[in-house]
Formats: sequence, C-alpha cells, structure tokens
Amino acid sequence: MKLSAKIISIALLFSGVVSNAQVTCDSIAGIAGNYLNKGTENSIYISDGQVYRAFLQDDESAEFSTTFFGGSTYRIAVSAGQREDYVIFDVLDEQDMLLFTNADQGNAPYWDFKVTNTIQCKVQTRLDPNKKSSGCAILLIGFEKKTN
Amino acid sequence: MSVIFYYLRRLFKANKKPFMKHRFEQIMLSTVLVLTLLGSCEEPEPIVEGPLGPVRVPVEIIENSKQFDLNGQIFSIPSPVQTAILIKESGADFNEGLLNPKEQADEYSTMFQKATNLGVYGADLGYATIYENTNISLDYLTPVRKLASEVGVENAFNEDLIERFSANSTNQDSILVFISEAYQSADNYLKTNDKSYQAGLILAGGWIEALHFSCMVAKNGNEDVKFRIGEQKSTLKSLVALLHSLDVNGDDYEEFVIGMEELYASFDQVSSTYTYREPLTYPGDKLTVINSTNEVDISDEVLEIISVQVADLRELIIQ
Repeated sequence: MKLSAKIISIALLFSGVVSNAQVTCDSIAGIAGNYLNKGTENSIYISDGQVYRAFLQDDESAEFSTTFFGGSTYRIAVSAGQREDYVIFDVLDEQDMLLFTNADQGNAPYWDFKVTNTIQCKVQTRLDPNKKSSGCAILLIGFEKKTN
Repeated sequence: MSVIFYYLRRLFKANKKPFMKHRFEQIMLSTVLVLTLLGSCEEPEPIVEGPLGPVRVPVEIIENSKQFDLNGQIFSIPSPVQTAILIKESGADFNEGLLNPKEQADEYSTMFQKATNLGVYGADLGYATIYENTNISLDYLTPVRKLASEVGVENAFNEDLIERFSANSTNQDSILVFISEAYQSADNYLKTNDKSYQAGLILAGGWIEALHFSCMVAKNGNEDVKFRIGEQKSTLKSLVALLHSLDVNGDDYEEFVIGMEELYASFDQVSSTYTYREPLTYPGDKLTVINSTNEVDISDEVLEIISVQVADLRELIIQ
C-alpha cells in the first residue's frame, strides 16, 4: 500500500515534469506574443492565428514560406526564452536574396516589414549558437491595422 | 522539488532493509529527480553544461514540434481576417449573403466538417467584424463555440472570451484581436496535442471562405480584389502540401484534397513577374521597407474557372 502511494506520487511528479516542459514552450509563445504589440502607437498587430514552433538543436533551422501582401506592414516576432537575443531569423525573397536578417540588428526579437508589392518570402529561423544550444523556438506573424 | 529530495533521503537512509526491496523505488525516484531537474532547466543560460550534461527536452515536446513540418518546411497561411480587410479597403460593400448560415453548424457530423467549418465561421466572424456588423459578429460566436467544443478547443473560445467580446462589442480593433488570439490559442493547443489534422483543416476552411469572399467581389468587376486572388497562388501551394502532410483519410477529406489540387492546376495559369529591388532598413524604427515588385497576370477566364472551383470546394465544406 505504502509502495503504491509512492508510485502514484512518482507518476504525478513525472507527469508534472512533462507538463512543466510543455508550459515552457507555451510560455515562450507568450513572450513572443508580447513582442507582437510592443512599441506600437496608433496601430495594432493582429496575429495571423498561427503559432510557428520548432524544437531546434545546434545549427538546425526551421524554414517556412509565406505571402506578404502589398500595401501591408507585417511584424515578425521570435522567442526562445526570456532573453531577447536567442533567435536569429532571416527573410529571403523567392530568388533567395536576403532581404533582412536580425543578426545585423543585435538579434532583435521583433521587426516590422512594410511591403510595397505582394511577395513570396522564406523565413529561416535558428538559435544563435553563442547564446543557446537547443530549445523550443516560437515565431509569430502579425499584420498591422491602424487603430480607429 | 523538496518532496523528491525528501523521498530520496528516506529511501537511501533505509538501506538497512534488503537492497532489492527498494531498488525499484530508488531507480524511479532517481529518474524523476533527473527529469525534474531537466524540466526545471527550461530557461538555461547560454550553453551551461551542468553536472547532468546537456539539457534535453522530453521526447513529447520534440514530437509536438513537428507540426506542419514537412522536410523541414513549416506552412504559413495568411489570415482570412487580413483578406477581409483587403476586400473592405478595395471599396467593396458588406454582403451578408456571402456568409455560411449559422444554423448550418448543427448539421456537421464528421471531424472534417467540424474543423473546416470552424475555419469558415472564423472567416465569417472576421468579415462581419471588419465591416462593423456587431450583431452579426456576436451571432456568429455561437456556431464558432459549438464547433470549437466539438473539435476539442473549447478553452480557446471560453466564457471569458464571450465576456470580453460582449464588453468590447463596439471596439472593432479589440474584437479582431480577441478573434485572432482565440484562433491562435486553438492552433497552438492542437499542434501541441498531436492534432495537426484539425489545425490544418481549420486553416484550409478559413482560407477557402476568404477566397470565396474575394471571388464574389471580383465577379462584380473589382480589379484590386482580382489581383489579390492571383496573389494566393503560393499560399495554395503551401496549403496543398500541408493537406498532404496530414495523416488522415476519409471520403470528404480525399474529395477536398483532389478539389484543392484541381484548383492549384487552375492557379498555375496565373503568371507573375518578380523583380528584386534593394530593401531599405531603418534600425531606429525597427522597420524594413521591401521594395521588390511583383506583377500578377490573371485572365478573366482563369478567374471564372477559379471562382467556380472555389464555390464547389466551399459547398463540399458547408453542405
């Protein structure tokens, strides 16, 4: 009976560990969410409703294609933890020309993109190897709407 | 954590008893201790090598990170709310007849129908909100909540959301943020709980509904919206790849995927000419202006074919 109680306690603790790690990824999503509306005046950034997440190790990168509609301004927000500079992201066009890298901006956790004409972009995300070796990385995209 | 150390102290002190009797508990508790330490290292400082070795995340998290991941690619689908904004900016009037009647939500029985229509009603909700039709927006919360509950994401559309929605019903911006956050929360939940199928179908349903709005508006000669439709070609390519990556079967799903492939074949007749122009970055404003140009050419004939196919796909979803 005593042993069963201990095993149940262990199981509960174990499930707590997994859940704790899950919360970690969720809490990183919360940090990225805060970047989505940081420092804005007379406008808001509305999420596209998706959470882009990847578990990255060493030099692994996650890549996705997206459409930026002309006449719009977008914000890309990234996070892999409480420090702002864990994640490097590059934005490339359909010819793989580099349009932007936050590595040139101190690994800024968010950046805005004013798009003149509709373009297809690739966004590549990786951890800065000098700052974090592995972990959950979250990227959010929002589009700007001027406030009424 | 202190509870674990307490148990460990007790067990290892109790070695007067036969070792084998406690070996199982010792192994289990040691495992829990190690995993707990790893779990508590969720915010490791840069490359800290502790006595336990490199930080590892439980397999479940790694598995859950693979959502929408195909050969290292993650899919991104533009928001139907943004499409609604672009439609309004083109000067088109609101048309309630474009919405899927809210009563239809009672008719959906398969997971394919429930998930895709959760996306459809989300787009309807966004469209009505953009045009500041508060009563319609509030009405459409009912089918959204019903289907969200049946898809398993009721927490994202809980009472708190309804209260915030009602309390801010005259503030369009707040409502749009609430809708987007709720869908984002649902997306996050589904992806982390190995339900990428539902997450993918919600996106597909929302995209088809927003494209349906665009096709109906373009039919009336709105050139701006016509080109917006042509610009969706790459998104459709991502969407088809996403649908293929989902581990699912079923007649309605398969018919839908075939229809989407046929739609892509039509979109393949939309041509575009991209020209790179050097972007300008303004570090002080955290802003980059992307100056590249992209000219889309979509003929009226192709638009007509696309409109018919989109109507058929929408009918397959909402029937």
